[in-house]
Amino acid sequence: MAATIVQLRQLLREKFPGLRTRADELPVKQRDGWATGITKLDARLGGGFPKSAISEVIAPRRGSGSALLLLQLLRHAAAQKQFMALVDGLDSFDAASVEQMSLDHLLWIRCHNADEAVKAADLVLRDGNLPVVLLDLALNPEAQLRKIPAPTWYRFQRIVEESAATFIVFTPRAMVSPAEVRVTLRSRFGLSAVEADQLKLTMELEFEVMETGGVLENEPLRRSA
Amino acid sequence: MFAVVCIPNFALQALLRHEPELRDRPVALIDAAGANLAKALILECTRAAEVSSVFPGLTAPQAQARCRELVLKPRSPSAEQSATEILLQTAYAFSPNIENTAPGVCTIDLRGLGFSSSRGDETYAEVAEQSLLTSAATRDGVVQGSFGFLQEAVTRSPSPLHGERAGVRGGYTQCLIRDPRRETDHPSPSIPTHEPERRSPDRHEVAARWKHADREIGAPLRFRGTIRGFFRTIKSLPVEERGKSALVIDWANAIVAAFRQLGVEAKLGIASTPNLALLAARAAQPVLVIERAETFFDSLPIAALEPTPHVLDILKRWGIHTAGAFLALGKDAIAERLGDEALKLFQRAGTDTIRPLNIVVPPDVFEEQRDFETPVETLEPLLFVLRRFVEQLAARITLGYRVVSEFQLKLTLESGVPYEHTFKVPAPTSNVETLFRMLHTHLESLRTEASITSLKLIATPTRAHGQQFGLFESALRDLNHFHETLARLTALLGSERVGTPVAEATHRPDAFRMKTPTFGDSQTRNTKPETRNAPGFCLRRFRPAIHADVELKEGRPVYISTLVASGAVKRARGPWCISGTWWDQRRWSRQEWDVEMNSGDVYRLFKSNGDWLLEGVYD
Repeated sequence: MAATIVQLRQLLREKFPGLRTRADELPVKQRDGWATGITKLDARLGGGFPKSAISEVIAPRRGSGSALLLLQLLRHAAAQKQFMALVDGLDSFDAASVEQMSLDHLLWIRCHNADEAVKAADLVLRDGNLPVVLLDLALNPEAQLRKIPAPTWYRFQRIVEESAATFIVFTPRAMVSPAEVRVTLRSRFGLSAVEADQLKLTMELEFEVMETGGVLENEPLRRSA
Repeated sequence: MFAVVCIPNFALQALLRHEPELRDRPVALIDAAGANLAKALILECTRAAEVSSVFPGLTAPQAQARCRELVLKPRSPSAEQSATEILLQTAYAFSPNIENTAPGVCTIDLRGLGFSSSRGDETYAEVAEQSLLTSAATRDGVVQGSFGFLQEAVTRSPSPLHGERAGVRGGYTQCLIRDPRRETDHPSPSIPTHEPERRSPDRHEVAARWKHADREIGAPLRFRGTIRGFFRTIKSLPVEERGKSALVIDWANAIVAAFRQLGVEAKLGIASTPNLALLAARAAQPVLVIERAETFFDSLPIAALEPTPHVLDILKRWGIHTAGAFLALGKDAIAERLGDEALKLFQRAGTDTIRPLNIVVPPDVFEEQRDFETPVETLEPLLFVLRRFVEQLAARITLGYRVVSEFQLKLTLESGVPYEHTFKVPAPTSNVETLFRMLHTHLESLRTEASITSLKLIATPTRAHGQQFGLFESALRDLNHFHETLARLTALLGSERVGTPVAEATHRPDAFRMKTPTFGDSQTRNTKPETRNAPGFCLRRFRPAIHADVELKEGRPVYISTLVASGAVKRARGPWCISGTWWDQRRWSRQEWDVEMNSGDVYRLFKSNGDWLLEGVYD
């Protein structure tokens, strides 16, 4: 009987590569990465944020450099002549701090609250035209974030899986359960950083990267940094 | 040669074009609507109505008494106008020399279209020959060719050929050719061997049988006969005759099919003169090519020449029932007895006089309109009609090898207020799904103050233009879908909240405007980078800025209290005084401070017009 099950698993594995045949087995996923242009982060992510998956960037406190990272992602996408959508959860993006060349590659969706942002992100992801989609909820109040139903993220996961888009969600705490990769910003910039060189600040960003495999919430399976 | 396209029951067909479900039902066109229904006369009616003994000339009550299910429709000048445009535009797609002869009748000059050329005919013959040779080894094969070509070949075949229905592939009739001598040795699975052996029909008998067969494009026919006999037939035909009629019939069938695609059943006649072609068109089912006028007239009823009732009565009393018999009387003898009327009849049947055509160029107008009998209050019926409009307009524009670049939607409300909206197609296309989705998305979010009484859709055509993308540049996969998504986002958030930001030419902080993304344009991709002075630490703005209560000490903020942050200020940098547009009413000035709170958060504060405001947080 056991041998039959083993054979059946083997057969299924051959027929459907990537299929989970055991509960304790992680799905085999070989995904391309979308490089961020930040060497340190790309190295820890194994090439960049995964495509066709959700990534979560956690900015646990203000001043951790989430806006800096967002700006870097925008610049990098523009440098690669890729178009990007920024779903701005609280209309906080400072367009004046970005050069027009980068802005020309940006679709900026200015939302009033997290509910609108989730709806807008859904539309943009379903569109499937843009290779990079950012959902910025870093500044949204906790009350708004709590109202986002958990199945929303799984729905996003299903949509993104069907496309080659890189979907990155900026949050103040870990809340995206099916996130394939979770990056926590550990930097803390003070007043002196206001006048500092932006490139230098970007290089000083500190990250903690967790590859969750998109399976469990708050239970990192492998810690790479 | 001339061709005449005739749309029978033109006014009725124009009306039923957008209601194809009514074509098989008894429907009659009346000359009045509403209050005058009792005196209204039936002008035209469908075949189903004729079966119920409803004919033109009856009054509406009489017709309804004969057929209880009869649907009465009043004439619609706008529908007839659209149908006329369709008639001319479709004909123009096949020949530049067309005449708007009468309502529902268009004459096409075929001279110069190359039907007498033998090059195309050669191709047909070669294709047939090649296919035949390929299958000759098994003595059983399939040859492809147009209906006309095969009919021509079989009509002139020296050996008997059998015809049966079979399949069709790629728009060509498939013909199964078999050698009867080997049939007993190698029976074909596709032809039942238990079929009783019959007398081989005479070739004229076969041709006559096919003449009445369904001649629609791709009409399935199967031929059974001697391969070599069939092959010899093709080879023995003179090149000029081998495919001349075939090409013309194919061409005619293509026109009829184009009209059918637009929801119009047309008949087409081809003959050496315009008048003869018109007679042929009226007698066609649906295509008739007149090669020998005498033969045609022999079977043409005299009524087809449209004599006056008086003359028709006289001719019938003389025993003249066909146009051939009438013409055989002789022009002079008839004119002597019946006068000018007879001369006019002779002219209508003229085979030697080619009247000059009044050449017209069809208007480049593509619009569909419908006035609703009852005002529409919900979206579904509107979308139903709109879908058909889009299909029709896309098909009409595609006929001219063009695509839709813009739609203009006009709604007339019951309150009399018109509503108009123009849709620019980002990537011009003739794809019905894409075009319809664009309209659908807009109408989903549209709320009108009154129900809709009339709908009009105008399409603007343009040439399809190709675009060469760069090797290392990414492009949007579906520009139309992207713009549809933008429309949905705009409906959700508002137009000022979706787009690409463009910095204004001012030093005023947070001055920008939103524009529609032009990701598909080459200008976007070729924009050269420019440098911009920006602080190292990035700001996340509060829009609008949050009011702050600021406590100062020696002119510097030491404590702030706001809705999002309150506490003692650890460090502060400033003030930076900036101002602009001091020369007019839009002048502004402000005093900025960057403050670091005891919590470690860094904010930007500014004072403007005596008020302190929190502009954003550095992150």
